[in-house]
Amino acid sequence: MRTTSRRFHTQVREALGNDTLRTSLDGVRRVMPQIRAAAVDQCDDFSALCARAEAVRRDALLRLDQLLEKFEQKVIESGGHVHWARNGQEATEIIADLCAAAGGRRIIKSKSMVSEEIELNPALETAGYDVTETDLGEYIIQLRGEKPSHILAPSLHVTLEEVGEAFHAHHDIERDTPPTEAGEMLLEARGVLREKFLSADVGITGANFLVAETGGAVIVTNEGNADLTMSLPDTHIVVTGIEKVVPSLADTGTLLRVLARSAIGERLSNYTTFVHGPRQAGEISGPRKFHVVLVDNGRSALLGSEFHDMLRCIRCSACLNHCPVYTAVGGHAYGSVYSGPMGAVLTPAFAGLPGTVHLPAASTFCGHCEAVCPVGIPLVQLLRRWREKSFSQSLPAAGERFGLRVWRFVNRWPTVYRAVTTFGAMVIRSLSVPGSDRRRWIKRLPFPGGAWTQHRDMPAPAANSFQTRWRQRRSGRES
Amino acid sequence: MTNRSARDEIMSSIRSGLEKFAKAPEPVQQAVAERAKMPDRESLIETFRHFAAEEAATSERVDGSADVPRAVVQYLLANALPLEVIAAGQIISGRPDWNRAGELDIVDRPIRADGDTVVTGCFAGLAESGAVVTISSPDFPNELQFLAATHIVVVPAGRIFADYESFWQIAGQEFATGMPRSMNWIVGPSRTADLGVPSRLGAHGPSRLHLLIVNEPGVDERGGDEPGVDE
Repeated sequence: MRTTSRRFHTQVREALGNDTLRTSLDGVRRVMPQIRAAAVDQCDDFSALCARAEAVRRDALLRLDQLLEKFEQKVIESGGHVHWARNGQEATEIIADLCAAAGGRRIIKSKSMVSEEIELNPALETAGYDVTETDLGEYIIQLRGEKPSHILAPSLHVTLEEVGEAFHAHHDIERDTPPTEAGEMLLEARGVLREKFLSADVGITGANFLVAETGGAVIVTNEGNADLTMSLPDTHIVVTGIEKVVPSLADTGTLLRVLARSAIGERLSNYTTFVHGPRQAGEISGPRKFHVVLVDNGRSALLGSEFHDMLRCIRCSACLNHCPVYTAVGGHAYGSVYSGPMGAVLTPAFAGLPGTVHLPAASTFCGHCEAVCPVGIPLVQLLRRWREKSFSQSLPAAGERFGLRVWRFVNRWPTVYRAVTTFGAMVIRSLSVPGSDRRRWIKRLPFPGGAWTQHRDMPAPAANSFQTRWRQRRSGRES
Repeated sequence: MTNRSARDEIMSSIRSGLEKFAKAPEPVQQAVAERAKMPDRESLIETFRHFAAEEAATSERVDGSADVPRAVVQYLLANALPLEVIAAGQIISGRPDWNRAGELDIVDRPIRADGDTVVTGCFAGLAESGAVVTISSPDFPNELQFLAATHIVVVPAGRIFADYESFWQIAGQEFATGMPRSMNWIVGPSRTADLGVPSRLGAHGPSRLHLLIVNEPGVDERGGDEPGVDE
């Protein structure tokens, strides 16, 4: 997987300087945690559901070989074909061959993170195919030649005005100025994409889950675009990761319950489709050919490794929406199609640590991501493991490594720790000014704290440390 | 076309990764069967309608299947829509009396342009989330429901299930010989949040989803459809 994560710091600076992006991200920070919390509150057994969902995913991974074999057998029984790809290149070659066999040039796609990961569109376009994304967000970024900035809302960073400009530039509609109304743009996209749906030769979708007992693929959308993508063209290709398989249809119910609530604060997404093979006897519609391309691309190497738990991920994006780093810098800063906490764990695994070493470092370890993960992935622990690895491989810059060594020294000597933190807190507090909220804030810190206060104020440390207050409290009680 | 060596290599990599774990455990117990306890059918139906309404679907109760065409006409008139519908075979086949009053213009053609109304049956309703479950079959080319601008679904009250567990139990029995090509859980009209907040209806599929809940035990026992007869 290719990334630009090496340029993380530059990309962060660009993101922080982009006011429209920050407005969009403020929206995510304000709205998404709220709607998830409301959906969770309405559900009287959400934590029990999450525990079940975690158990389903945990169990599935431990029997992954058996489940994949069963899945393959069932797909073949239903008249479909299963293809195995060790890496992204193999996957794109397999899909290009399937498209060639389908005999047409027009491909429609619904949103699939695996297809982004393996860079499917550029590969197919190079091979001469006309590829159209049909999820509206993906369509918008395709027109703009961009990558997704959120795994669920890929065009999060694009303003309505910019959407209008993209439509104006690419749609063959006579007019003088770009559309400005969302309703107008919706109708326009609906019309343009309907033509694409009706004339496509191949439909490519991802899969949220695969079902071993029946050979089914479960695909979830709100727009219904995946359903048109998989029912109108003559060939349907599902491309997904090998880790997506679960034992039974009933298991998907458990996962669907936590997926929609975690992702968009709904009980269920608008369209959930269980697809099993090609057109059946007597049917007058539906694809005649059904293929599933199972992509490894680094996943099997994670099984049984210290990052094994990450394979439970169901791509709900709750960890992104609750992350103070993601909601400050957005997805593009990460330089990977997978961003936020889940991306900071997955990207080094798929693309190698040397080029992605900044991502695991981009976390405050506040633990919000872990707290909202519906399948109990210990994201902070996994990020820490990447940091340990990067330190032991001397990947961080010399200054950073020196700083960590100093910090380790200070931490190992309680007397030194107390002296340093007391003095440090005193100095920092002396720089603070009273805020309108009756707390004290620091507007500008000297190096190396300047990076913090460049974009936001820092709360002043308390006058006394916890340890000091604890000592005072105990001595007060004892006297 | 399967590349055996890729398959074998991936499988062997998976197995070596799993070696460090103890023998694979027994499958986890199926999820929470007791979660949506809804004592009587009436409250089940009302919960179904309530959750569907929260996702912008509309619904009404209809006394019997004979009243369905009349309810369709009233809905179309109330929404200023043409009285022309595409009716899925599962709804009208074998029912010469279905549109007895002749109020509806029933057309039989694939959808190409935008703006059509489609009337379909369904396999089940799911009270837990307000979703209807439809299945593709020889008399229901299921893309109709994604291309239409208005989707009217006839839901037999007797086929509304409290939760996913009770649904899968029955579906498992009825599809014992094989799953339909496409099973669709649909809650509310097509929607997108990619053009800002609030989300907009009618992204690609219907902007209106209307549920006619038929109060008698069922339209032809199971929503007029014969699930699983498409072998």
